[in-house]
Amino acid sequence: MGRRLPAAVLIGVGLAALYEALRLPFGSVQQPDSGFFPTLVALALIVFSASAAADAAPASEGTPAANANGQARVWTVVAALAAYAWAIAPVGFVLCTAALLVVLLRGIGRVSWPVSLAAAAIGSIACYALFTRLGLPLPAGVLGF
Amino acid sequence: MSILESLALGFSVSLEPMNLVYCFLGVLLGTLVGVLPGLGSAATIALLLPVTYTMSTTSAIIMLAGIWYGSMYGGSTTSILLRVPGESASVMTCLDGFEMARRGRAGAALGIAAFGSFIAGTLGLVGLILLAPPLAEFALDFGPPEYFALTLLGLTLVSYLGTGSVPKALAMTALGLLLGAVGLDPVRSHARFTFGSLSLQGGIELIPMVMGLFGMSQVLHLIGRRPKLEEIVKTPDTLLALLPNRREWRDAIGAIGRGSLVGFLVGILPGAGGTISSYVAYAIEKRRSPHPERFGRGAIEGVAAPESANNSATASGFIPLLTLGIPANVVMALMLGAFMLHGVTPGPALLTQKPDMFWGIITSMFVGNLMLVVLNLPLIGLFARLARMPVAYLIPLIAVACVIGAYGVNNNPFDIFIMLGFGVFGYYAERFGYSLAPLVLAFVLGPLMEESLRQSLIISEGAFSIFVTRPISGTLLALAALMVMTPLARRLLGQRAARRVEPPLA
Repeated sequence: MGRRLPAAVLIGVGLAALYEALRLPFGSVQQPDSGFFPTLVALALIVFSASAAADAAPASEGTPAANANGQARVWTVVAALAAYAWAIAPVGFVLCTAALLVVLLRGIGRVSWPVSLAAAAIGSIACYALFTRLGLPLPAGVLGF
Repeated sequence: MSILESLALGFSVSLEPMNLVYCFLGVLLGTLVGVLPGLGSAATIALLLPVTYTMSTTSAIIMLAGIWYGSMYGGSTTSILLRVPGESASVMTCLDGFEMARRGRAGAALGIAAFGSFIAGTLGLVGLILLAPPLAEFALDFGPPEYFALTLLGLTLVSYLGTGSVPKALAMTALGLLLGAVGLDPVRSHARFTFGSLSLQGGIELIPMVMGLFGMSQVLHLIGRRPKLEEIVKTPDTLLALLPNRREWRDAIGAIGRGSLVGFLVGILPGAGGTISSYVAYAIEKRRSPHPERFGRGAIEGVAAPESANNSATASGFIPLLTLGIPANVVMALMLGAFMLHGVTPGPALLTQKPDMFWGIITSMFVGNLMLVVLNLPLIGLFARLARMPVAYLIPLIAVACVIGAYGVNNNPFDIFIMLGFGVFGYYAERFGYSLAPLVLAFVLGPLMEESLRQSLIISEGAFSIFVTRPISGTLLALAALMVMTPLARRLLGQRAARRVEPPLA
């Protein structure tokens, strides 16, 4: 079942997309409207995903799975990045990026505390200075720069 | 304008001081990206797209193109010295390149990879120069049915030429088309799949999507399982040590020629690109060799052929974009994005309306190839040391690059969520053997495909025969049908030969 789970998820996505597409005006073959193409594509997604589920693909296809610790690290980083995206506008780029770097360097990479803190401070300020100079306005936030 | 006049115009643009600087920056960045595993050329180009706002279109494309072909050069260095391909197109080079290095011929392997890449890149550009103008002229006659047939053929090729399962690739293609339909309908302005979100009304942005699929997913892979680096082979001390001997040249020169041709032909095909071309070129060399048992044990042809093929493919990959406005691979899709950011639509009219830009971009690749040889040979030792940068430092580097790249598109944190979502999706998709290239190409080609389908049906008053009665669209659809129905066609395109060759890394 594990190997077929992604195909099952894609079939679910296809069904949801088909439901949404059918709520759009379909038009006719002579005058196709907004729902015409999405309906066809959603049907194609369902058919191809079902075919992928039925396809006896070798178990070795794809990249090896991470162990439980690896999965925990992956989801820790995903959560940290989600928090980063949520906080960047009110808190600011420098503080958020410094915090993210500490999580990645110390929490994930096991780099020593002093090096992690120094790299986080220098890295975040350097990125801010470089990209704002290149014309990319990064959020200043509570620090005001 | 004759070819020589066109080239003179092109060089007058590409040799401008600022364009030389951007070309150098591009090839240097590309080499670094090729050397470092994790941050691929697609993610780097996506990251730098917002930065190109302030540049001229020509300078922007010159720099981004430099990143692409520079990464092909950089990838070979670490493949040979460390058995770590920085780019997927360098995987085949590991097989014989690392074996040559272990036997004390690292210099010859690096030298033949660099010279082979230069020769192939140059031959590929000659092909591009000769083929692009007539193709662009031919494409001026294309109408909606032809564009629909072309996009359908492109997506069929992407699905059938990939290295994984065809049903999975087709499912990813359909998903990409669906994602491309998110936002306002281009004709009637109905909101589709936006679920009430204003941020989704403009559609899903390409850059956060690509940063997530190719950058963030790599971060998650690196975090999930820490890769082990193989032993590093001693780097050559002098430039002379990089010169292959006479026998090695004799063995390699044919492979460089064949690799260049294979790379050029495969590079034009949508979805194939550098990776497939290097597999095919390697398989051909092995098959035609009187001593196939030497392959995998340090045969110089096994370095020359794939390295030549992937560099030639980078040049020919520009042909569909510059002449038809159709990207042949993910990097070309980003190039299309770069053109669009600057309000330029690549396609048949580019050659006639902006010849300075067209020829300036092409000739800059000659200049860039030359820079790469000069840059790469003396700095091989430095690049090899860079490739051993600990993963603990590489992960934050890529993660912050992805975050800035995603945020920089609209200065909107929502795009970081989009990037992260696609990063998680890409991580799991690759784990289960679902290739990401068809998804991205379908996403890019989807709007053109839908528009041309709807326009064609309106023109023909609902008669699907319009696609088969017009000679060009009929031929393109016949090719797509051939691809789907005839396994022989797939064999002729070398897919089976390529699949027989196992990649060396888990």
